[in-house]
Amino acid sequence: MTHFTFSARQIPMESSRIRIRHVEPKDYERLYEIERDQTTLHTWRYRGKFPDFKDYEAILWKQTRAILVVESQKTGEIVGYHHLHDVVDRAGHGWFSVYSAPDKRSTGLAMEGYVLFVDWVFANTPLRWIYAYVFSHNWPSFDSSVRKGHILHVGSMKERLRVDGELTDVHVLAASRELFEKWPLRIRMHKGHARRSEQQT
Amino acid sequence: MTDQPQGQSGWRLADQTDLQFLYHLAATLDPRWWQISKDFLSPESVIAKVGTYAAGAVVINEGQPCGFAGLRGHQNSDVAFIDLLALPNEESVEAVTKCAPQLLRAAFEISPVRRLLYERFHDDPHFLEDLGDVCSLEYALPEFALIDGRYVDRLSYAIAKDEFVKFAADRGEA
Repeated sequence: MTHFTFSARQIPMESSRIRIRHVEPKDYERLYEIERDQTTLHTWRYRGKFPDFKDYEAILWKQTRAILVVESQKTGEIVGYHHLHDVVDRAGHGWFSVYSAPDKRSTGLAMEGYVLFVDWVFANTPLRWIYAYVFSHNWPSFDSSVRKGHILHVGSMKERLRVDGELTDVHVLAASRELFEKWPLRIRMHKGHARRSEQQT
Repeated sequence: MTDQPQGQSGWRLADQTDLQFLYHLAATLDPRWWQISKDFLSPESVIAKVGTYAAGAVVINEGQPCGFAGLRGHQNSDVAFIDLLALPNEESVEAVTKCAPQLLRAAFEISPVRRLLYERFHDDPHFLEDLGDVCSLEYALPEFALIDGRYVDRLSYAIAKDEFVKFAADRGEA
């Protein structure tokens, strides 16, 4: 009988409050629920035309490379998810989206998952840059990261889309592998992960 | 809707007979016609992707095709992209630059959009430079693609219909 051994993960997939993991079909209902909420309905992807659940899986995976859900350590509930899409292999870049359950928006849980997610992307893919579109009404979630220089605000599209009939601006963010590797929060997170791994062995 | 060549340069609507030229244009510029080249280039992919444009025009100089303008975007959106490309020589760039305002006007006429978006690599010719602030830079994606051994930024501009119409009227082109 052959025995396989797996090395411990070199990058953390969890923090004290949350963990991230690849989505599974059993999660689709929860993701659908998060996206169907009136406050998140007008996403870039759906442009207000949200699909029926029977069509959801195919649309969810369209132009998608990875979906990682964010789970609460305490309750196991999915509190958000991160989506890597529109990857261009030739250029080594892609786009990402962050979704947070409406009732978890002020908790910072999805953004905590975002740090783990970006770390996962740069540790497991050859991408150099990942970009994101952020609607004006979601800007406060990213403002702090931009001010601290962890992610670049590379411009805004004026009155790009209509949300509830009103024209809204869309901000464009860019995260680079190089910039992210120097992010103090990521460095602290890795040190903590290494310490915990050592204690467990 | 055509603007048949008057004198040396002009443009006409693109058709099936232009596919060979469009492949030549994409291959010569590769990867600068990013919409076509981003997933690598093949005749099949050029045909497939050119087919996704809502409308296209070929720019003519001295009786020969030298550039392309293409309109693309999401259905039901009131914003569309316009791609402008020229063969990499001075005469072709000049011909496309000269035709660019007419091509924008035509795009606004045939399409119910309130804004046109225009993208270029930072070291590409800027065909809409003459529009000044009417063509406003909205964002720049750093180190977007590797071209000839260097990472090049991708710049994205917007042209609002009302501002463009006013600009054209002020220049007596309305």
